[in-house]
Amino acid sequence: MTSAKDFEICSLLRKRKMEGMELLFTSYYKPLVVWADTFLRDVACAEDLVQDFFLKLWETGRFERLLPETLRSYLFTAVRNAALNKLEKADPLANACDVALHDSPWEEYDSFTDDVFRRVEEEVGKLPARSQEIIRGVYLRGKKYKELAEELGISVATVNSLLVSALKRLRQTLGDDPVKLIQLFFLKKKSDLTQ
Amino acid sequence: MIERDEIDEQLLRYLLKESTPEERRAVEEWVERDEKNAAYFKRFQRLHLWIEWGMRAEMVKTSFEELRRRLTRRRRMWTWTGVAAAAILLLSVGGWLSQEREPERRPVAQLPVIEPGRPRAVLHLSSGEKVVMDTLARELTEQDGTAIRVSEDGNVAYEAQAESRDTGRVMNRIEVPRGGEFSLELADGSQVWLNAESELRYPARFSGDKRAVYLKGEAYFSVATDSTRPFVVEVEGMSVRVYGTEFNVSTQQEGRVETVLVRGAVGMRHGEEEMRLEPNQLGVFVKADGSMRSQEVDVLPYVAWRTGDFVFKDETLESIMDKLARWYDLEVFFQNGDLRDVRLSGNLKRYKDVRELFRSFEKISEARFSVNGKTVVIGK
Repeated sequence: MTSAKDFEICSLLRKRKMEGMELLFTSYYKPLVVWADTFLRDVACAEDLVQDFFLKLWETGRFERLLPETLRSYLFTAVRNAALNKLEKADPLANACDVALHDSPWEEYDSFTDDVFRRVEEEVGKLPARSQEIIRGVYLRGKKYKELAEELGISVATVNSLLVSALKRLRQTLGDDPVKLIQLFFLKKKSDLTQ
Repeated sequence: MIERDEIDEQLLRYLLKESTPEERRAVEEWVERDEKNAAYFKRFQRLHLWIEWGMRAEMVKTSFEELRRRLTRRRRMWTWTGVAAAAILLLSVGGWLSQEREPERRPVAQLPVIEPGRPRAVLHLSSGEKVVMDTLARELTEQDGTAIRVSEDGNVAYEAQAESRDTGRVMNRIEVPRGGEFSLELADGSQVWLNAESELRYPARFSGDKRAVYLKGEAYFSVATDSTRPFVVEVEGMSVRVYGTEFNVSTQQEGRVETVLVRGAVGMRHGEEEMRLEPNQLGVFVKADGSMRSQEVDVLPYVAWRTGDFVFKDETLESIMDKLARWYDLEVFFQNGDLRDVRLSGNLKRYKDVRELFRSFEKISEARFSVNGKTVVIGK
């Protein structure tokens, strides 16, 4: 599925317009940074990587030849490769086993947009305080179960079960189907409007 | 069959790398055992990634403005224009401002507001010492004994002392940043007003048979009469020679030197060739082919900046925005290329809110201005 935005980005860039870079940025910067972060486990580092990638795109004139049909997969693949290269340079053996995990085709990640981020943030915000603390600890701060258990003065088993039940709840509200997630989001928006 | 919660627990531990090697293997076996399991794992992984991405996205900080600064760094070229007068001459040169300012990292909370320029400059003394001048009065002495008086209203005056040492070799340089302006009185009594993003190099004291100064950017000169020593402004490989008492030089359009004469007489000189200008004439020197030509103009728009006004008369929006950008330190982007050539007229006090001018432009044209911090985007 090629979005109208991708067509617009490519047509602006073909005319060498800075607005094309801006639209590319607003549509893809955050998803790409988070994507690079999936490998690098360091958001600041991921930001540098994606910015350098954009800069190179602009300076080498490569942006003029981007095609809307393949834009999305090109961006995600290029950023993933750059991230893996960076990792390999830092430590040639580390993380080799994780790569296969994220090797899934791009179409899977069509829901990977700003709206989804907002929606996740919103739903996490509705969880009980303790569950939120654990989710943030694990996902935001990259803490191990054990570290969190010590920090919060609870057992590892409790961290484990709270996390699983939090995920279960998020699955109910977010779903695990990208199409449904987007629909939910727009339904919600509509109901916000009618209120 | 294992409980679903238990499966979730194992999968989550697997994804978060909390599993022991045995548990890892068990999960992998479970996934491979059955297509249904593989599909379940995929959906579970997706949920996990969404949460991870949603959480980590909060930490992404950069705005497009920061990237834009990096993108435009090598592409930005500032242009300058020039004008001269019979005792008033204005001259402009382009291209030198391509020097880069470091991209600043500004905290989001302190979005810059658009502020007009103000008296501001850096004085480089012959010793290499730098003096930042704003609105603080002070007095300095150069190596040759010349007194330099800096007043609180943004003026520097040079006062030659009777006994001279090392005459004419002491060069000073005054640099006015974007968003600044400054005036100075040279040792011979000539007045120079420097516009934003301009630079003047001059001797602390004049000697020899001519009074030569070196300009980048834009300046208005009021030259003290001295028939024995002509005053010369060297700019972008050509010179403007003053035969009167006062003149104003500025350089703003890339590859061009423009001189507008207000009073008196000046000559634009390139190599052996000289073109004399009459009052109310604009002389243009095109660097690329070395050609010079002159035409009658209304001088006011060219020199109004000195007295604190912007006067635009049937000027292209591109050129207008260029001047405003320099004074208000703006970044300007055109969404529609054809808007660059729209011709507009308008006046504005240089110390006023520039948005007033945008509003009046919106009334008389289809250009629409959207201002965000120091960035102005012009669309339809």
